[in-house]
Amino acid sequence: MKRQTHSEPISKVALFTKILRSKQTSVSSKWSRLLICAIFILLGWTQLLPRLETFGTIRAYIERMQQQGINPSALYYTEHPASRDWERTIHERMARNPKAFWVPK
Amino acid sequence: MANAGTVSKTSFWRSEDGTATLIAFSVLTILLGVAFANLPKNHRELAAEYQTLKTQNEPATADSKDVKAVDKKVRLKEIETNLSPNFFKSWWLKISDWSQNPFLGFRSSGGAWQWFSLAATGLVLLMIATLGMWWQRQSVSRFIPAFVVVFALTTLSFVLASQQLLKYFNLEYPLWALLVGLVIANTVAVPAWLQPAVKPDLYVKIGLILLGAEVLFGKLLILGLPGILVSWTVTPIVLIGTYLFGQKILKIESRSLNMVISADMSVCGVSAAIATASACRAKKEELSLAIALSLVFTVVMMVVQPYCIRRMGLNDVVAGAWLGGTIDSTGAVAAASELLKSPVATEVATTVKMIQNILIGVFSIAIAAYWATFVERKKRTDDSESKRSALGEIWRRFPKFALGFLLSSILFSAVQASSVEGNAMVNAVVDGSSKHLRAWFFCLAFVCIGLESNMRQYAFRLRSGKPIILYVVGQAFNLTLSFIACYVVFQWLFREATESLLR
Repeated sequence: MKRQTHSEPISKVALFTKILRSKQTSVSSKWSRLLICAIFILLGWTQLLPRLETFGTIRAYIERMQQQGINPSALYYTEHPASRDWERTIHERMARNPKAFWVPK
Repeated sequence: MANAGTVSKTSFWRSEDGTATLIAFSVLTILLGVAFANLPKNHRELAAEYQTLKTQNEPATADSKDVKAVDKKVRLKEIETNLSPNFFKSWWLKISDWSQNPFLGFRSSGGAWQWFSLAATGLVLLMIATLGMWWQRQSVSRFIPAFVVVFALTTLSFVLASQQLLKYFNLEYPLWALLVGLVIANTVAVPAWLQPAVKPDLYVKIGLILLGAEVLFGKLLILGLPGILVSWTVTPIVLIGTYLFGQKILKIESRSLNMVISADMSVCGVSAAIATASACRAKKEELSLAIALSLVFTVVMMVVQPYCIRRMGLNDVVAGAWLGGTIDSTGAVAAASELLKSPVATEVATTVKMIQNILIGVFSIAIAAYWATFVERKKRTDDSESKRSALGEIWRRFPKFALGFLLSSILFSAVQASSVEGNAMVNAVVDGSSKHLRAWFFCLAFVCIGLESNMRQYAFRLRSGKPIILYVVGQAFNLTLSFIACYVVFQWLFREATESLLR
């Protein structure tokens, strides 16, 4: 195998991969790995994701959700700001013909 | 989760289950007391007016020509707001969505910086958690600095989750909290001084008992009998069917992983996964894996399913009920139904999901009882301890905090059903504080799960591909059965109800 010498320039990606795959557990290597991950996250969140947002259909989807006040990240019904309004409207729709829904009095 | 509820010589009240129950109930009692104290002086008159307006049969719609009807709708909302002032609302930090600059997440929707809320949230969580440590006779001086760092990581997770693209595609905070924890654990490793605040089980249990206040049984009837039929028949069949498929056909070694994936896929995603994982004492990486699967497949479903519905030409009620019954989380259901561009579809979809949300209370107790009675017993047949009486054994293995979860659910359901004021007090507690605190405790728990996990454990679980097959087959079963149920119920059995909703 060809050995890496000081004279051969090593690419940044190759350097990152080397550090991440390194089995050495020295303090500096651990912190280098953390730093690399942090850089990836920072670049991903502040550069890549905002660029993806600008794609036509994605932009249109986000704008539609914002206009309608939809929060797609709500885990549970109480987390959605409009859930009480939806509940109230359903109640009103059902009030037109409660017998059809077999709602107990 | 695993390690939870193990028998120790300390009394129940000093154990993790007991501490979580005491803390969460103290918080809920204080919040309920504040809500009661803040009822306006004229609450009786307001409640009477509310009751009168609500019992009037004519519907109040914005498009109605009857001015009185529109006024009625506005007045009802006004009374609800007056009866439930959110005393602590400005205390909780709610990270806003941001696109390029993460610091903008700390600005409120009104544009003001939320530094007070950040400090208040941190202090309240620190006080609650420190009280728990003190009660468990653990070192408070070592806990406090460690907790400050864990809280900072939790805040970072919420900031990551609030990036616009991720937020609007339902990639929620548990995923990023796990990522933050995993990155630290698998690079620099968790330092010894941080360990005292790494308490995922305690945080999850406190969060679950707080969640109990949101599991209101009165909501089960919000869509009448059709809603109950769609949710109560399909969901248990899918849950049990998927679990049996995993055990009998796929032969998944871990029953708890099988159960958590089945529950999060059939009930309501992340919150169901957390509740069932605690009930069946799943390992932490099993919970994380189930949540990751749920979130990834939800993104696909919330885009693909509305497209299929449009091609199939379903009516808005059947379409909404189908979306509500199959997509995992409430937010994703709302987003998917919004793509159908029909308010009725959105209302029906979110209402069906709401009914399913309530089912997690019933399911988690049933799963805890099943685990304690059958699964754990099989595991320990050779133990000398199994010579104890059967009921005593079941009680010993039962995750006691689940009773706290059920109790808070029953208590808040009873308060809500008691009167107009009771309903307003529950709204004030949940909207004003408990749902925010619960989200913070869950996020703290996921950061800690990440901090305690190793990437290799996830790779090992995924290597066989069985969890993915289980999720895909289970979801296919769920989609088919839900479609049949929604069609039969809304197109055939309750056609009149469908027409009422569509009118």
